[in-house]
Amino acid sequence: MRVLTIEDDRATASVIADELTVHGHEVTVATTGRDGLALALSEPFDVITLDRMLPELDGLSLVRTLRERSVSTPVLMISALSDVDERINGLRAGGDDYLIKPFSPDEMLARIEVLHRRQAVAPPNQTELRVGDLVIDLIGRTARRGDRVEKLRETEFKLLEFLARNAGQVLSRRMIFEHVWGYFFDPGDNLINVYISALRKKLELPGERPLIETLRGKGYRIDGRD
Amino acid sequence: MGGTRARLDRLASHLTTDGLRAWRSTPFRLTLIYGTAFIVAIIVLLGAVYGQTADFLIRRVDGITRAESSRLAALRPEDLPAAIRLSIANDHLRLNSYGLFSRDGQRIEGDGPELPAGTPRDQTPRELVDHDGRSVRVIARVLPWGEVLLVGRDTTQLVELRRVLLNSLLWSGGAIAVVGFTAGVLLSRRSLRRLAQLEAASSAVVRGDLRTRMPLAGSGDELDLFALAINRALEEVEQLMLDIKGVADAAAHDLRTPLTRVRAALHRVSHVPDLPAVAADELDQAIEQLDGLLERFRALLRISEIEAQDRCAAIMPVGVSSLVEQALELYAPLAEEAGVTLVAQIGAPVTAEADGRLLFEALANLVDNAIKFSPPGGRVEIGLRTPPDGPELYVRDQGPGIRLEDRQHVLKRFHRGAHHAAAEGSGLGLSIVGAIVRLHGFSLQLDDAHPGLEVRIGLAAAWPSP
Repeated sequence: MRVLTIEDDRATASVIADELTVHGHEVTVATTGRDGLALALSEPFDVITLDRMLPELDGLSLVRTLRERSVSTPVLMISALSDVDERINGLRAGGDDYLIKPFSPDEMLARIEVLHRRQAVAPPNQTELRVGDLVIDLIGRTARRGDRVEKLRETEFKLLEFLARNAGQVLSRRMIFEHVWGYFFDPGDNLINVYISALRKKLELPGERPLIETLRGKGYRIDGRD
Repeated sequence: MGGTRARLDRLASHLTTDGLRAWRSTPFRLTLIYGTAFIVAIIVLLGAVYGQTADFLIRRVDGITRAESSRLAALRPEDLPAAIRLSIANDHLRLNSYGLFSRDGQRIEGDGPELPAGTPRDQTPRELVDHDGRSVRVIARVLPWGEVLLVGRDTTQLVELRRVLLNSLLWSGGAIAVVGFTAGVLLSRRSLRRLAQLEAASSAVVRGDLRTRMPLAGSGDELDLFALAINRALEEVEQLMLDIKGVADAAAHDLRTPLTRVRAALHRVSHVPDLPAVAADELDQAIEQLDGLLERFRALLRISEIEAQDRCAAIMPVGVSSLVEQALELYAPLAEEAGVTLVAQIGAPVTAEADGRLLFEALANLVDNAIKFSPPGGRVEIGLRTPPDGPELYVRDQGPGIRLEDRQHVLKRFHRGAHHAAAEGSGLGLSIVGAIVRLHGFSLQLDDAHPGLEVRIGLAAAWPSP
């Protein structure tokens, strides 16, 4: 994956670049808004990470300009401003996701990968999702493991769908809380854990292969391999 | 020193129980003093006018009486009764009175008042009352042949003058009292209105809004000077508070970049292949602890951000009942897992002027805490009620509660009661709630729920909604 990082703080830029490079992605760094815009317009990238406050041209104007020029590369906005209004401003201007500083590199990577996947896989008339032996019926709102069909509650279904659409990807509790519930504050560890447990009770019967993995301090993942 | 303190306390309790009353105000008292002084001055003035006028009139009356008496005394004895009759006949206004008495006091001629027995006949003017009840000033003299001649003149004018002056004194005094009292009330009401504004501003400061300033009337009077002095002090205090907060925020802000870098480095090392299991464990623990620290910084900066937010930014009517329902739905599984009964008590639907997302964040923090600190089998109640002093949102648990002496502290950053130490979290949950409540001008109260804690958010804003 080719990633453009537009970030004026060298330390943050190197944290982003290091983490992405370690995971085999190719990173180009721009340190001003103007340079970043020029690069984004001229070269094809898979994802852009964009600092909200930049010299010369700020992040909001930059992403707005990109969208005006029909560049639809997914943009992860990174900002020290955690307020919901700031987030909404960022997303309204054309950003696709919003990450608050200080962030953990895992979560940054996870968000970039989720964005990339969302861009890459978007089959229009999909009626089911398959991850290993798990089949999610997107119309009947049920989950099937083997020949067992489980009825899921609305929230459980949204949670499972989010995990399955990003199979193999570690998703932090914040990401889950934002995507599944639409709330933008830290819910603490326990809340999401309880919902995950409920899913496990329905989808991981004794003797079955564990489906959802908990990575302490990092988040949750559905293993995509068979 | 102690006595003064006690007096001030007594005064303060009076002021808070009775509020500011017009009759206590300085302008009212001053007007009262001025009014009294003015009335006294008028009494003195009218007294002087009366004294001078009366003196002049009496001297004039005495002069006329004496001249008349001398004129009659100079006549021959045989002509006197006729002259007296003639004088009476010519006195159409009946201003004068005359009397001629024999040696043994028998009236020979005239209509004047009887001379009381024993009165000296020494030509000294005296006040008498005649048979018509009029005041008469008389001069009596013994004639060379032994008879007594009495000449008097009516002084009703003087009595009339005294009556007029006394009347003017009463009327003008009454008018001054009424006008003065009204002016006092009006003046004191004006200054009381300003004092009430100052009082409201200082209450806002007490509530923690250090941006409030005392209102100025612009007249440069002593209240303006006083308000200016307080404003200068407030500016100083606000600057100090900002400095302190700035230091804390800067520390959080400056530390998180290096910490993020340390975390990245540890994270990279933890991915080195063939790492001994012990080292990998240690690394994982270090990363976890760093994450906890970063989480605290994040919460700390979040509080600063809420505090710095523009009060009116996203404030609009919010259905609080629906927030309670959402919180119930969100936390029901967590409560069930913890063996805690979570219930909602929603009375009448309530709408509050609020930033709905922030208010939900506050509510979620409270419910999360309540479940966390509840014993298994406990009960957590989220509720909405509408007592007369405005709707309130409450969360009640059956946990260990918070000791009275700790209740104020838990709203501050990083404080955690001793019994909370075992529970996870940034320790800033209640501080975030506090910041959100302050932003809205709502009130926050922690109370004993016997057993447990009841946290109440009063949804009637302390300032009028924008």
